[in-house]
Amino acid sequence: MSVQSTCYETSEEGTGETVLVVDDLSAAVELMCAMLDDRYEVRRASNGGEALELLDEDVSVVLLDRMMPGLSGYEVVEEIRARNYDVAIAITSASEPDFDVADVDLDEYLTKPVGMDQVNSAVERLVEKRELDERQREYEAVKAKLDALEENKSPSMLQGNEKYDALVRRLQELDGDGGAT
Amino acid sequence: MQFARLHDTNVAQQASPALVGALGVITAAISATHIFAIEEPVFGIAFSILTTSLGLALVYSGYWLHARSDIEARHHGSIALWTVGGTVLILLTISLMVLYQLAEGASVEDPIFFVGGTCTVGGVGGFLIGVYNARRVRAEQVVAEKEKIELLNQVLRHNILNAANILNGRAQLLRGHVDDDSVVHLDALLVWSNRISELTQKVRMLVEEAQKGETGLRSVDLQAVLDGEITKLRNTYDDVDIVVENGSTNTSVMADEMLAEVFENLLDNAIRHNDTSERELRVSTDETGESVVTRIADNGPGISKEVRKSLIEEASADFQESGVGLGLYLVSRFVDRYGGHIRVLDKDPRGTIIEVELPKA
Repeated sequence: MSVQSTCYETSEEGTGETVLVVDDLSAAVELMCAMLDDRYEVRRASNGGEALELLDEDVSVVLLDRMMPGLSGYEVVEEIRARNYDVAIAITSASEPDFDVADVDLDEYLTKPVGMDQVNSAVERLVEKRELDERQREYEAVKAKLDALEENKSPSMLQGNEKYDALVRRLQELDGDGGAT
Repeated sequence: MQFARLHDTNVAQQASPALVGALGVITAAISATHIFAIEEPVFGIAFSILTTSLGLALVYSGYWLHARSDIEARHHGSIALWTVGGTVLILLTISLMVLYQLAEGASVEDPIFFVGGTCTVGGVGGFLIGVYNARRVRAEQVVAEKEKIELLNQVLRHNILNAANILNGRAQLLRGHVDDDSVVHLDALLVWSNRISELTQKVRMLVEEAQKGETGLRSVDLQAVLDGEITKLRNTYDDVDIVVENGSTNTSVMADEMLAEVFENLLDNAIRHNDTSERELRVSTDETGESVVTRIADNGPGISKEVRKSLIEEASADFQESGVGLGLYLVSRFVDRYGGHIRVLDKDPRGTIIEVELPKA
């Protein structure tokens, strides 16, 4: 049984921005695409390798599943950053983030369920993040990671965790120098 | 073939405690022969008493293994083996020593008593090692099983959340494309796909609670949590008359981030099951010496005996059998974790009062 695609890769009244959606679950890709295709051009990939092939200068936002066969979402993030593309990256996962999220150079972590409004406002935010200077953007990324961890871990788990503490310190550094707004 | 093997293991399992006991009987009998030998030096009598006791301890060990211990039958064989092994080791050592003494021409007084008695030490030692070993193996198995279940749980949650997300997202996409007569169906899809996500997340919280045990409690402002939940309720149910009374100045209780979840479930339950046309909800907090009491009073149809029981009784109550929803099971588990109590009272003329008492921080 295959799901017939309801997703249109080009849109007439869109923003002109291109979003790359990567998920091994094709129904999840189709859904994201259907939610976004009114406003964005959407490219679809079902694994990390495909995602890297579809990535070029036109893509401004990547929405990336975390758990995929082959390259994991985190590995894809690493590879995208290594190739120096100017994209904002969000992980979208039905699994809550673990502390290893601290080591990944992503802009946001979205935990499913993610509704229509959430996806659209997230992509809007991500597009805007590309305009930020490096310091502001890192501030936003660190903050997003902290939010994701705090939402999913109890204070007792956060307390004394090295990676969490490092994120908190980094946020203070970035904040203290007046770099962030 | 399969049956025969099963049968054999069964016999071996059942024979193991008997073997341990028999070893005890034999060694105790040999040891006891000299207890009343009055003409002997006192050391002989002391040796006899000591080894007889150890032999009897071994007899009791066999009985304990068979009737009283919590060690599963499949570990009994190895415990018996350790017991026999310990006995044989000591038997060999002492026998060789005695033989050496005799070969050298020295005289050994009653070698069978001497060797048999000393064997009790090996038997009891071996038994203790066997029990310790069985417990260690079992503890390792429990950890491995727990990890396996948690992994399955994670995979299940992940897949369910993914599926619910797709259902809900697709339903959202249909908004505005469904005619007025059919919109109720769409609403039901939205509500129930959300419910799947909520339930899955509740299970996750319960699993985490079970793993955490007693740790992680801290001071939480109960009133702030209640205010937050009531604001949410007012946004969701604009037809319900909600009255809030705060009769205490210090509402800090020992809890964690799940306290909000506890009250969300109780409050939501009080409203959702209320079948009257003019639904009322009265929420008040009061301080006693050691604790803060929250009262949630509604004018609904009252609570069934089963639900009442499962809320008050200890958290191990089987929520599946009692027919109580996951939400109330969660309430009872977490209130228990905080060291609190729940009371359910009938309200005159109609309705229920639920009292949640939580220890002050």
